Amino acid sequence: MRLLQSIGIFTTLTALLGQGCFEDCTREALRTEIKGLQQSVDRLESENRSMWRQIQGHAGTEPYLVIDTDANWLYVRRDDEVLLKTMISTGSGRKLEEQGGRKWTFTTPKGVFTILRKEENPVWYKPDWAFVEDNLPVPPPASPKRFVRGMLGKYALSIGGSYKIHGTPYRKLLGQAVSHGCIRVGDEDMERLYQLVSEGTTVYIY
Amino acid sequence: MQERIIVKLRNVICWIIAIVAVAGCNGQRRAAEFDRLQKQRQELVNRLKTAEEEQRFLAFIKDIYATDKRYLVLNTHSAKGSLKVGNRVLREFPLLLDGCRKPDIMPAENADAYVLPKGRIQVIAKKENPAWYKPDWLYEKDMTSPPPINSPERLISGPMGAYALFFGGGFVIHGRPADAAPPMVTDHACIILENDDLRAVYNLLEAGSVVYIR
Repeated sequence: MRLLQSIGIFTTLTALLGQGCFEDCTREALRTEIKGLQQSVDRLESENRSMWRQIQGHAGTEPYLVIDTDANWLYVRRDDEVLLKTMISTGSGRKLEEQGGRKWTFTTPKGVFTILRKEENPVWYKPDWAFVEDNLPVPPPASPKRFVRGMLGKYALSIGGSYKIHGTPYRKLLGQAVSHGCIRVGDEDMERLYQLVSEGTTVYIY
Repeated sequence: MQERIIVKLRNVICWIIAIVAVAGCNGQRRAAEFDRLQKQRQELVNRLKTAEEEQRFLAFIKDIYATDKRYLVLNTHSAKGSLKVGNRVLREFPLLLDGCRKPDIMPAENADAYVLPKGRIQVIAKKENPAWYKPDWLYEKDMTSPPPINSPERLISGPMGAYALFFGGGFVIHGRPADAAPPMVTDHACIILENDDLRAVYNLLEAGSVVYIR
């Protein structure tokens, strides 16, 4: 009887200790990983701080827009502060060729731009490529078929060269590079963005 | 005998219950710590991602603000200009080459001023709301006597748009007249840029910046 009891206790204890060790090992691994991560974060953040100091004074005190076409993020920043960060869709880089003629590449231009115009309830003027893409005949420039409502959301910001930052009905595609070159923003964030910027705001696209 | 077995059995059961209870407590504590570590890890992963994204932006901005690396390339054959940093094109824009019209009556000694320079030139000065200095021969053409050389009457604001970049030798990069007037009769060679392109160029180039014209 005593033997039985001893065996019981022994097995239970071993099982518990065994489990404990396994957990200890994973926890130890986690702790090591955290330590490594902490070091990388500290290094990067201190590098960033010194870079901010170097460019200080250039950014000014007005909010500005930053568009990261690699990661499909849009930021509104004031100096080193982030006022708004939102997922967007930028140019897909796809090519389109008209039979026996023109070619288009759908990319978002990179560089330094300014917001030239703010528009409410923008109307999309359908360019030639939109018809070519759908295999439709291209109508004359002033044709009513060219003017489409609702495709650009409630607000749009022109940055020149017919490129716009606008709302979109294709909300599920945000975060992916799928546009024809325009910058698509989710409708709620577009409203906030519209309120934060003014004509003349600088836009950095890279 | 039977009683003793029952007591033993009860002891064993008590032991098991105690061990399970302790183990359970311990397990819960371990699980909580594990969760905490996981959360800490996730938080760091997010911060790392943000820092990496920020660094990409900062590298781009630093390039832009490194004045010595910014330059302008103006191609007069294709009427296109580009603002560059190293190999990176920051902006491309059209050039309006026939904005500054040569007047019919033009003193021969000033004719050189209409030739666009070629090759590498440098910005000498830049000016916001530049005033145009009306030369003697334009007064003479209008049969009026020119005011003294340093008279403020000679300075006319508006025809050069909002900004101008000067290079010496009569050549100027400037904007359209504010009131969209027809091309002005001028005393210099110029390349006109649309207002938003000009603003970008003006903001990013400094005195000393290099411009290549071909």
